[in-house]
Amino acid sequence: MSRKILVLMGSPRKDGNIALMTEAFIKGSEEAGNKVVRFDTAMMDIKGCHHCQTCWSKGRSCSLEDDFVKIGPELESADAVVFAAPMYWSHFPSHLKTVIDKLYAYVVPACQKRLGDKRFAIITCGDGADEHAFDAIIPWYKGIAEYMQWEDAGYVAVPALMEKGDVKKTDGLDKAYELGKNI
Amino acid sequence: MKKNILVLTGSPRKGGNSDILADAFIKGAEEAGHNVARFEAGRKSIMGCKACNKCYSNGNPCVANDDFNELAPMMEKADSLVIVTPLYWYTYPTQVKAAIDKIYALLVGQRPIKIKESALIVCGDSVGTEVFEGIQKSHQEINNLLHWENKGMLIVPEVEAAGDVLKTDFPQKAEEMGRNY
Repeated sequence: MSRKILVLMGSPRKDGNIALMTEAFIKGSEEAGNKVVRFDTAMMDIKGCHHCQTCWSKGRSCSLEDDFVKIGPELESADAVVFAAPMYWSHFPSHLKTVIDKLYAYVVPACQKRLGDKRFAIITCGDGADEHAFDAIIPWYKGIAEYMQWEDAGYVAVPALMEKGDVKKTDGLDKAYELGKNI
Repeated sequence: MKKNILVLTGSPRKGGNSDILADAFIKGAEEAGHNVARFEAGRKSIMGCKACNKCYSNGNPCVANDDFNELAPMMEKADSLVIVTPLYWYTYPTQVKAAIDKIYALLVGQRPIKIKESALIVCGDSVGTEVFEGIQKSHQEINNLLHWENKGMLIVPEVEAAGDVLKTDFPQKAEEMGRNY
Protein backbone atom coordinates (compact mmCIF):
# COMPACT_ATOMS: atom_id res chain seq x y z
CA MET A 1 0.00 0.00 0.00
CA SER A 2 1.23 3.45 -0.87
CA ARG A 3 2.51 5.40 2.10
CA LYS A 4 2.42 9.15 2.42
CA ILE A 5 5.67 11.02 2.98
CA LEU A 6 5.65 14.66 4.06
CA VAL A 7 8.77 16.57 3.06
CA LEU A 8 9.33 19.98 4.61
CA MET A 9 12.10 21.71 2.69
CA GLY A 10 13.46 24.70 4.61
CA SER A 11 16.02 26.18 2.26
CA PRO A 12 15.20 29.55 0.69
CA ARG A 13 17.22 28.50 -2.37
CA LYS A 14 15.12 26.74 -5.00
CA ASP A 15 18.14 25.22 -6.70
CA GLY A 16 20.63 24.88 -3.84
CA ASN A 17 22.20 21.76 -2.42
CA ILE A 18 19.29 21.00 -0.11
CA ALA A 19 16.84 21.36 -3.00
CA LEU A 20 18.91 18.86 -5.00
CA MET A 21 19.03 16.41 -2.10
CA THR A 22 15.30 16.85 -1.55
CA GLU A 23 14.66 15.99 -5.19
CA ALA A 24 16.89 12.91 -4.93
CA PHE A 25 15.06 11.85 -1.79
CA ILE A 26 11.67 12.29 -3.47
CA LYS A 27 12.81 10.33 -6.53
CA GLY A 28 13.85 7.41 -4.33
CA SER A 29 10.72 7.62 -2.28
CA GLU A 30 8.37 7.71 -5.28
CA GLU A 31 10.22 4.84 -6.95
CA ALA A 32 9.55 2.85 -3.80
CA GLY A 33 5.83 3.44 -4.38
CA ASN A 34 5.24 6.23 -1.90
CA LYS A 35 3.19 9.36 -2.36
CA VAL A 36 5.20 12.47 -1.50
CA VAL A 37 3.82 15.82 -0.38
CA ARG A 38 6.40 18.61 -0.34
CA PHE A 39 6.25 22.09 1.15
CA ASP A 40 8.99 24.69 0.76
CA THR A 41 8.63 26.40 4.10
CA ALA A 42 11.00 29.28 3.36
CA MET A 43 8.55 30.49 0.70
CA MET A 44 5.59 30.28 3.08
CA ASP A 45 4.31 32.60 5.77
CA ILE A 46 4.42 30.58 8.98
CA LYS A 47 4.51 32.52 12.20
CA GLY A 48 6.08 31.04 15.29
CA CYS A 49 4.10 29.68 18.21
CA HIS A 50 2.72 32.66 20.13
CA HIS A 51 1.92 30.55 23.17
CA CYS A 52 -1.66 31.80 23.02
CA GLN A 53 -2.92 28.44 24.30
CA THR A 54 -5.84 28.47 21.88
CA CYS A 55 -4.70 25.41 19.88
CA TRP A 56 -7.70 23.58 18.31
CA SER A 57 -10.18 26.29 19.29
CA LYS A 58 -10.78 27.01 15.60
CA GLY A 59 -11.11 23.36 14.63
CA ARG A 60 -7.50 23.09 13.51
CA SER A 61 -4.21 22.70 15.33
CA CYS A 62 -2.94 26.32 15.27
CA SER A 63 -5.31 29.26 15.61
CA LEU A 64 -3.05 31.70 13.79
CA GLU A 65 -4.00 32.61 10.25
CA ASP A 66 -0.88 31.52 8.43
CA ASP A 67 0.31 28.90 5.97
CA PHE A 68 0.55 26.22 8.63
CA VAL A 69 -3.14 25.60 7.87
CA LYS A 70 -1.90 23.87 4.69
CA ILE A 71 0.73 21.79 6.47
CA GLY A 72 -1.27 20.66 9.52
CA PRO A 73 -3.65 18.22 7.74
CA GLU A 74 -0.77 16.72 5.72
CA LEU A 75 1.25 16.26 8.88
CA GLU A 76 -1.67 14.54 10.54
CA SER A 77 -2.09 12.00 7.73
CA ALA A 78 1.58 11.39 6.88
CA ASP A 79 3.27 8.06 7.51
CA ALA A 80 6.70 9.70 7.52
CA VAL A 81 8.03 13.21 8.04
CA VAL A 82 11.29 14.50 6.60
CA PHE A 83 12.91 17.83 7.40
CA ALA A 84 15.40 19.06 4.83
CA ALA A 85 17.34 22.28 5.42
CA PRO A 86 20.84 23.69 5.56
CA MET A 87 22.56 24.54 8.82
CA TYR A 88 22.13 28.18 9.80
CA TRP A 89 24.19 28.92 12.88
CA SER A 90 24.40 25.25 13.87
CA HIS A 91 20.70 24.48 13.51
CA PHE A 92 17.75 24.56 11.15
CA PRO A 93 16.78 28.00 9.83
CA SER A 94 13.85 29.78 11.42
CA HIS A 95 11.70 28.97 8.35
CA LEU A 96 11.74 25.35 9.43
CA LYS A 97 11.94 25.85 13.19
CA THR A 98 8.59 27.60 12.95
CA VAL A 99 6.92 24.37 11.79
CA ILE A 100 8.53 22.46 14.63
CA ASP A 101 7.35 24.98 17.22
CA LYS A 102 3.82 24.42 15.94
CA LEU A 103 4.02 20.74 16.92
CA TYR A 104 3.12 22.11 20.33
CA ALA A 105 -0.56 21.92 19.31
CA TYR A 106 -0.15 18.16 18.96
CA VAL A 107 1.21 17.60 22.45
CA VAL A 108 -1.19 19.75 24.49
CA PRO A 109 -3.99 18.03 26.42
CA ALA A 110 -6.59 19.69 24.14
CA CYS A 111 -5.08 18.01 21.05
CA GLN A 112 -7.82 16.62 18.83
CA LYS A 113 -5.64 14.69 16.36
CA ARG A 114 -2.71 12.85 17.86
CA LEU A 115 0.09 12.39 15.40
CA GLY A 116 0.78 8.78 16.32
CA ASP A 117 3.29 6.49 14.67
CA LYS A 118 5.48 8.00 12.00
CA ARG A 119 8.92 7.53 10.58
CA PHE A 120 11.18 10.55 10.80
CA ALA A 121 14.36 11.60 9.01
CA ILE A 122 16.39 14.71 8.31
CA ILE A 123 18.51 15.89 5.41
CA THR A 124 20.98 18.67 6.04
CA CYS A 125 24.22 20.24 4.90
CA GLY A 126 26.68 22.83 6.09
CA ASP A 127 29.22 25.10 4.46
CA GLY A 128 31.90 24.47 7.04
CA ALA A 129 34.26 21.53 7.11
CA ASP A 130 34.10 21.82 10.89
CA GLU A 131 33.78 18.36 12.38
CA HIS A 132 31.37 19.82 14.94
CA ALA A 133 29.03 21.19 12.25
CA PHE A 134 26.28 18.70 13.06
CA ASP A 135 26.89 18.27 16.79
CA ALA A 136 23.72 20.11 17.71
CA ILE A 137 21.34 18.96 14.97
CA ILE A 138 21.82 15.19 15.07
CA PRO A 139 21.13 14.68 18.79
CA TRP A 140 18.34 17.23 18.36
CA TYR A 141 16.42 15.29 15.72
CA LYS A 142 16.93 12.06 17.63
CA GLY A 143 15.49 13.83 20.68
CA ILE A 144 12.45 14.96 18.70
CA ALA A 145 11.92 11.39 17.43
CA GLU A 146 12.08 10.05 20.96
CA TYR A 147 9.75 12.70 22.35
CA MET A 148 7.17 12.27 19.57
CA GLN A 149 7.62 8.48 19.67
CA TRP A 150 8.44 8.52 15.98
CA GLU A 151 10.72 5.92 14.50
CA ASP A 152 14.17 7.26 13.59
CA ALA A 153 14.53 6.51 9.86
CA GLY A 154 18.03 7.97 9.61
CA TYR A 155 19.67 11.11 8.30
CA VAL A 156 21.90 12.53 5.60
CA ALA A 157 24.27 15.31 6.67
CA VAL A 158 26.83 16.60 4.18
CA PRO A 159 29.56 19.03 5.33
CA ALA A 160 31.67 21.53 3.38
CA LEU A 161 29.20 22.50 0.66
CA MET A 162 30.13 26.05 -0.23
CA GLU A 163 28.46 26.71 -3.57
CA LYS A 164 25.20 25.70 -5.22
CA GLY A 165 25.66 22.28 -6.79
CA ASP A 166 28.64 21.27 -4.64
CA VAL A 167 26.62 18.32 -3.38
CA LYS A 168 27.00 16.73 -6.82
CA LYS A 169 30.69 16.22 -6.03
CA THR A 170 29.80 14.17 -2.95
CA ASP A 171 27.79 11.04 -2.24
CA GLY A 172 25.05 13.24 -0.73
CA LEU A 173 22.57 12.78 -3.59
CA ASP A 174 22.99 9.00 -3.57
CA LYS A 175 22.48 8.93 0.18
CA ALA A 176 19.37 11.11 -0.06
CA TYR A 177 18.01 8.84 -2.81
CA GLU A 178 18.65 5.75 -0.64
CA LEU A 179 16.99 7.42 2.34
CA GLY A 180 13.98 8.05 0.09
CA LYS A 181 13.93 4.42 -1.05
CA ASN A 182 13.95 3.17 2.51
CA ILE A 183 11.86 5.75 4.27
CA MET B 1 34.48 48.00 32.66
CA LYS B 2 31.16 49.46 31.61
CA LYS B 3 29.64 47.55 28.70
CA ASN B 4 26.76 47.94 26.31
CA ILE B 5 24.75 44.79 26.81
CA LEU B 6 22.00 43.76 24.41
CA VAL B 7 19.44 41.50 26.04
CA LEU B 8 17.42 39.59 23.49
CA THR B 9 14.36 37.94 24.98
CA GLY B 10 12.51 35.09 23.32
CA SER B 11 9.17 34.61 25.02
CA PRO B 12 5.92 35.67 23.40
CA ARG B 13 4.36 35.60 26.88
CA LYS B 14 4.54 38.91 28.77
CA GLY B 15 5.65 38.57 32.36
CA GLY B 16 6.49 34.89 31.96
CA ASN B 17 9.42 33.11 33.54
CA SER B 18 12.04 34.16 31.03
CA ASP B 19 10.84 37.78 31.22
CA ILE B 20 11.27 37.62 35.00
CA LEU B 21 14.79 36.22 34.53
CA ALA B 22 15.59 38.96 32.00
CA ASP B 23 14.34 41.63 34.43
CA ALA B 24 16.57 40.18 37.16
CA PHE B 25 19.64 39.99 34.91
CA ILE B 26 19.08 43.57 33.75
CA LYS B 27 18.66 44.81 37.33
CA GLY B 28 22.00 43.30 38.30
CA ALA B 29 23.78 44.52 35.17
CA GLU B 30 22.47 48.08 35.52
CA GLU B 31 23.42 48.17 39.18
CA ALA B 32 26.92 47.17 38.12
CA GLY B 33 26.97 50.22 35.83
CA HIS B 34 26.42 48.57 32.45
CA ASN B 35 24.15 50.01 29.77
CA VAL B 36 21.44 47.57 28.86
CA ALA B 37 19.24 47.59 25.77
CA ARG B 38 16.41 45.09 25.49
CA PHE B 39 14.87 43.63 22.36
CA GLU B 40 11.83 41.42 22.85
CA ALA B 41 12.19 39.10 19.88
CA GLY B 42 9.35 36.88 21.08
CA ARG B 43 6.91 39.70 20.51
CA LYS B 44 8.46 41.09 17.32
CA SER B 45 8.12 39.97 13.75
CA ILE B 46 11.32 38.83 12.08
CA MET B 47 10.99 36.78 8.95
CA GLY B 48 13.53 34.13 8.14
CA CYS B 49 16.72 34.86 6.20
CA LYS B 50 16.11 34.19 2.50
CA ALA B 51 19.85 34.07 1.72
CA CYS B 52 19.27 36.71 -0.97
CA ASN B 53 22.58 38.38 -0.03
CA LYS B 54 21.07 41.84 -0.60
CA CYS B 55 21.73 42.86 3.02
CA TYR B 56 22.19 46.67 3.37
CA SER B 57 21.83 47.13 -0.41
CA ASN B 58 18.87 49.49 -0.05
CA GLY B 59 20.17 51.18 3.09
CA ASN B 60 18.26 48.88 5.43
CA PRO B 61 19.98 45.94 7.13
CA CYS B 62 17.47 43.49 5.64
CA VAL B 63 15.53 44.11 2.46
CA ALA B 64 12.63 42.16 3.98
CA ASN B 65 11.98 45.28 6.07
CA ASP B 66 10.84 43.58 9.25
CA ASP B 67 11.71 44.16 12.90
CA PHE B 68 15.28 43.02 12.32
CA ASN B 69 15.90 46.51 11.00
CA GLU B 70 15.24 47.75 14.53
CA LEU B 71 17.49 45.06 16.03
CA ALA B 72 20.48 45.45 13.70
CA PRO B 73 21.55 48.93 14.94
CA MET B 74 21.16 47.66 18.51
CA MET B 75 23.47 44.77 17.64
CA GLU B 76 26.02 47.18 16.19
CA LYS B 77 26.11 49.21 19.41
CA ALA B 78 26.44 46.18 21.69
CA ASP B 79 29.61 44.79 23.27
CA SER B 80 27.82 41.74 24.57
CA LEU B 81 24.74 39.72 23.66
CA VAL B 82 22.63 37.98 26.28
CA ILE B 83 19.82 35.71 25.10
CA VAL B 84 17.08 35.04 27.64
CA THR B 85 14.53 32.60 26.36
CA PRO B 86 12.23 29.69 26.98
CA LEU B 87 13.28 26.38 25.47
CA TYR B 88 11.05 25.37 22.53
CA TRP B 89 11.63 21.85 21.25
CA TYR B 90 15.09 21.62 22.79
CA THR B 91 16.37 24.83 21.23
CA TYR B 92 15.59 28.51 20.55
CA PRO B 93 12.02 29.49 19.67
CA THR B 94 11.50 30.53 16.04
CA GLN B 95 11.45 34.21 16.96
CA VAL B 96 14.95 34.01 18.49
CA LYS B 97 16.28 31.78 15.73
CA ALA B 98 15.08 34.28 13.12
CA ALA B 99 17.03 37.05 14.90
CA ILE B 100 20.13 34.86 15.10
CA ASP B 101 19.82 33.82 11.46
CA LYS B 102 19.90 37.46 10.39
CA ILE B 103 23.22 38.16 12.13
CA TYR B 104 24.28 37.01 8.68
CA ALA B 105 23.24 40.45 7.36
CA LEU B 106 25.90 42.16 9.49
CA LEU B 107 28.53 39.85 7.98
CA VAL B 108 27.35 40.33 4.38
CA GLY B 109 27.05 44.09 4.93
CA GLN B 110 30.56 44.09 6.44
CA ARG B 111 29.25 46.03 9.41
CA PRO B 112 31.45 46.55 12.42
CA ILE B 113 30.48 43.98 15.05
CA LYS B 114 31.74 44.97 18.49
CA ILE B 115 30.15 42.03 20.26
CA LYS B 116 32.90 39.90 21.76
CA GLU B 117 30.96 37.73 24.18
CA SER B 118 27.59 36.22 24.86
CA ALA B 119 25.56 34.52 27.56
CA LEU B 120 22.44 32.40 27.60
CA ILE B 121 19.66 32.16 30.17
CA VAL B 122 17.16 29.49 29.23
CA CYS B 123 14.17 28.06 31.06
CA GLY B 124 11.80 25.19 30.42
CA ASP B 125 9.28 22.90 32.01
CA SER B 126 11.42 19.78 31.88
CA VAL B 127 12.82 18.03 34.90
CA GLY B 128 16.60 17.91 34.88
CA THR B 129 19.05 19.67 32.63
CA GLU B 130 19.60 17.00 29.97
CA VAL B 131 17.03 18.48 27.59
CA PHE B 132 18.96 21.75 27.62
CA GLU B 133 22.11 20.15 26.19
CA GLY B 134 21.15 20.89 22.59
CA ILE B 135 20.63 24.62 23.02
CA GLN B 136 23.91 24.84 24.90
CA LYS B 137 25.69 23.12 22.00
CA SER B 138 24.04 25.49 19.53
CA HIS B 139 24.92 28.49 21.64
CA GLN B 140 28.53 27.35 21.92
CA GLU B 141 28.73 26.77 18.19
CA ILE B 142 27.45 30.31 17.51
CA ASN B 143 30.15 31.60 19.86
CA ASN B 144 32.74 29.52 17.98
CA LEU B 145 31.61 30.77 14.58
CA LEU B 146 31.76 34.42 15.66
CA HIS B 147 34.79 34.04 17.95
CA TRP B 148 32.79 35.24 20.92
CA GLU B 149 33.65 34.39 24.50
CA ASN B 150 31.07 32.34 26.36
CA LYS B 151 30.17 34.38 29.45
CA GLY B 152 28.02 31.66 30.93
CA MET B 153 24.82 29.72 30.54
CA LEU B 154 22.14 29.67 33.23
CA ILE B 155 19.87 26.64 32.86
CA VAL B 156 16.49 26.92 34.58
CA PRO B 157 14.46 23.68 34.58
CA GLU B 158 11.00 22.87 35.93
CA VAL B 159 9.22 26.17 35.34
CA GLU B 160 6.01 26.18 33.37
CA ALA B 161 3.21 28.49 34.58
CA ALA B 162 4.04 32.19 34.45
CA GLY B 163 5.74 33.10 37.73
CA ASP B 164 6.88 29.57 38.62
CA VAL B 165 10.45 30.85 38.56
CA LEU B 166 9.68 33.14 41.49
CA LYS B 167 9.48 30.03 43.66
CA THR B 168 13.13 29.27 42.86
CA ASP B 169 16.42 31.08 43.46
CA PHE B 170 17.06 31.47 39.72
CA PRO B 171 15.97 35.15 39.53
CA GLN B 172 18.58 35.80 42.21
CA LYS B 173 21.16 33.85 40.18
CA ALA B 174 20.27 35.82 37.04
CA GLU B 175 20.64 39.07 38.97
CA GLU B 176 24.04 37.95 40.27
CA MET B 177 25.02 37.00 36.72
CA GLY B 178 24.13 40.54 35.65
CA ARG B 179 25.94 42.10 38.58
CA ASN B 180 29.13 40.14 37.89
CA TYR B 181 28.93 40.50 34.14
